[in-house]
Amino acid sequence: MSKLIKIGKSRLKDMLGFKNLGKHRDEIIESSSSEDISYFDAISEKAQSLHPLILNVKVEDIIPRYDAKEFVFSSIDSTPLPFFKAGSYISIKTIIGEVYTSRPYSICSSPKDALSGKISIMIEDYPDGFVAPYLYKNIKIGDVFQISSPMGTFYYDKLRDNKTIVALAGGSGVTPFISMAKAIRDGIEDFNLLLIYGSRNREAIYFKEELDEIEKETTKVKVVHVLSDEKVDGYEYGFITSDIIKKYVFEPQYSVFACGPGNFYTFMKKDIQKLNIPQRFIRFEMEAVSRDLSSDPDYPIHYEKKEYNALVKQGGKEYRIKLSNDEPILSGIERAGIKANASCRSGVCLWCRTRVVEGKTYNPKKNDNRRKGDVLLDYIHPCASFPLSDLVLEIPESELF
Amino acid sequence: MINYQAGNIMKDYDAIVVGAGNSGLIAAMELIKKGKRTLIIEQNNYPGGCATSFVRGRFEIEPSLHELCGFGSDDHDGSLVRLFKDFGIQCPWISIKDCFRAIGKYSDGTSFDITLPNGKAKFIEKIEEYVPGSKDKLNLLFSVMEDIHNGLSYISDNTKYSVLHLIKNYPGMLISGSYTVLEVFDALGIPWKVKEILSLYWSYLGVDIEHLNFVHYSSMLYEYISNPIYIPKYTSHYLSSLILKRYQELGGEIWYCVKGEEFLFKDNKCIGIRTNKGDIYAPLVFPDIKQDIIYGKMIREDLVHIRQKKIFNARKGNYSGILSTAYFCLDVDKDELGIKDYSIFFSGNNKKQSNEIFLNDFVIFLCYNVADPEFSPKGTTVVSFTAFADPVFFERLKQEEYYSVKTKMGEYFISLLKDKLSIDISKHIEEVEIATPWTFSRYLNTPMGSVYGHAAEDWDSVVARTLNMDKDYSIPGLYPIGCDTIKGDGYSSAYLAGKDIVDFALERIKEQ
Repeated sequence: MSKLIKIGKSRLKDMLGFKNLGKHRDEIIESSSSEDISYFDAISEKAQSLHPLILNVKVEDIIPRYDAKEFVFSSIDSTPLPFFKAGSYISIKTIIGEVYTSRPYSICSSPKDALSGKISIMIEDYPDGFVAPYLYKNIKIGDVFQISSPMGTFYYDKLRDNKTIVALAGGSGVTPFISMAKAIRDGIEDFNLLLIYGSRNREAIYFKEELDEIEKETTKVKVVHVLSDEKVDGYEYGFITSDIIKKYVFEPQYSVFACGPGNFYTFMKKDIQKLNIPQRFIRFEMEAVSRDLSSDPDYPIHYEKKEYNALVKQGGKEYRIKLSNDEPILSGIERAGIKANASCRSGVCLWCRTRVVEGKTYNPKKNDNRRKGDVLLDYIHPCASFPLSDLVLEIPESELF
Repeated sequence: MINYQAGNIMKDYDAIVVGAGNSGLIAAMELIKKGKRTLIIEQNNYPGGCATSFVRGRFEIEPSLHELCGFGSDDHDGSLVRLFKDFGIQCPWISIKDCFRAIGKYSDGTSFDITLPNGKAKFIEKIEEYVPGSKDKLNLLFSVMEDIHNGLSYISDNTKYSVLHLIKNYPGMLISGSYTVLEVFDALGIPWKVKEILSLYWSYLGVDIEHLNFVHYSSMLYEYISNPIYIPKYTSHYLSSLILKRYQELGGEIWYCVKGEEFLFKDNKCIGIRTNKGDIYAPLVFPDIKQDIIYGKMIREDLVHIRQKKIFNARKGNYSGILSTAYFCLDVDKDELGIKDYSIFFSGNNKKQSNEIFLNDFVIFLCYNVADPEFSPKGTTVVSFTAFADPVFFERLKQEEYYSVKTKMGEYFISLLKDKLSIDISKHIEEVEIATPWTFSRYLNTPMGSVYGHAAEDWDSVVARTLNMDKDYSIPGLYPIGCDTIKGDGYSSAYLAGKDIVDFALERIKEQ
């Protein structure tokens, strides 16, 4: 059929046109200016300034907070700090001896402060820890650090969440909610925050004065303190439970956000079911990876502490290291002095995604957020993965170091 | 104390592929198959570029792929099937039943709501139902498109093809090849309503039918309508990973989080690339990077060839595929919501609502669970909306307004579905993520976050680009690949460009 048609004046002209397609394009190009390429892209500049890979900051102020310290950083880059959703975290990088590592901390300052170049995190003097006590003890005013851009998905979203957020905080898990309360006060966020905040006693309440102040400044923020070790009038006594939530929340529709230590999550995840609210209205901040595999019912073999050999390949370099099964693979890699890529350290952000070339790993369910394809093709997130045998691994280069 | 043995292992590579996007992965496969020691460097920590996925809560989300064509028919493998078979790549596929449903208004203001099935005969029959009297014209159009389809595969199979053979066997291609889609439609007397239905498809190419070369349009439309279309199981991340797996089985290497910064030159030849982790050398470098970035940001100014400057100035920074996409994960089954279609094109929407953020009132809706009921956990559904974003708006937008703009976009999409189909997803949103040109720029590092790169306008069509390859690849050792090169945009085009440009480079070296 196509043998009969023409598009232009004649079939011959049509065919010549086709024959000359290249010539025609070439003529247009050759007759164009040979000026230097002046490439500028405003959209890319905006994307870069919202999500720079690394922020260079210095310690501006240190505020004691019970057994912790709030570190206020200010930007020393030429650009201000990126705006962020209250509830986000940053990853702070540090070198301890010969270990290059980083730790995620929720931001406890208002997004508004970022616009004037300031951002805060709180670090506890966690005695069993490795990085936290080091940072707690050693950071001085004027010290210079590199931190990641704000990251994470633990924030209020008008499209998804109810207008009232019941925030359940255990101890230092209050920090993302401090940022949210400040964002509401500053007019950046518009939702009701009912913060139910568990502490050991009155002294151990972080940001008590700030919270009192915010409650006075806006009716959208309400705080209920729950003390586990002290019975005091005006405070709830015991642990945060669904009964306490029911006692203080009056709105028929609300979302629950929770942030706290591991045992707090274990309890809350169960207890919260009594509220009978849909799963979409319940959000837990990323959960730390538990190192105690001996009590993990899913652990596939009898647990005994063991060391394995690993060959770690990274961008043309190879390292032979030992990995112990009492800590995540990422920690073992870092302990060996390798500069690894990591951010959330909870199995969520994918920054440490690694190919298992040989060997077996254990990936605890509660931190296993891998893509289906990655599970099928044996990629792991070494921050949430433990060795079950000798391993050959291919890890990404480090973007932070 | 450091308890490891470290050593930098120096290696020689025959070729470096910069960027593990669709084109980069296939280029790397082709290089390995041809016995070249190949290294891919990739700025992100995953392969695929936009052919990836991301996880939110209990959902894994497909960010970019709508459907793949190039599968051919039962008795004749398509270009993509041949490519994958040749490489030994096996992927579980999910078939897409209908081409699309389109809901909108004709230019005379009357409404349409049509669902077009896959398969040429069924497709034409259905359009005849909607626009009586169009069947003969459509058959004519399809005979021209068939010529183009067959002509193109003849050319790609025979580097030294005979023009006489083309004239004899595929005259439709030669006759229509220098015209725009609109010119061909008009010459063939396609009824105006059919023209409007078929031009909905331009959105996938990002150039409207007045400025789009007919061969480019046809090569895609024909594949899409005539032959079965698919998506990979477990999102395009799995597909990308399977290609990479095969590449690594054959000895290929990939380094993640290694970002190319500047191409290295010696005697006007490209000899390698400077990265955030040091310099890497190879006589052949294949950047899967948009050309304006390569020549505008990654090569010292005095080394940029005059041909590249002229191409840049001729194209005037006309990028296509500047998009915004909203992904919603819902805690309800699609049947309960009443979602029946995999893809719906909405046009003629309320302009007032969209004008501020979007370039036009065209929206593509997708529901992955219609294609694959197991796409997300039982009792849940994942849908997405894609629209063309107004680049000027996103150039001017302030950071502190960004998140509320995202919310506005989400509300627009939700109300669109409610208004047009009475489907209300607002009470079921468990996860939501909204990508803008800023997002695409962040992850893909493309000009203005454009997904496709240079628009394949009529004068700069894929055929013309292919015919100009010898002149365009003017820097020895440097062979840009990707969806703004010879095959245009789309997954299949990017894959095929990766292979063809590698073959072109290797052929050229042999000749020298």
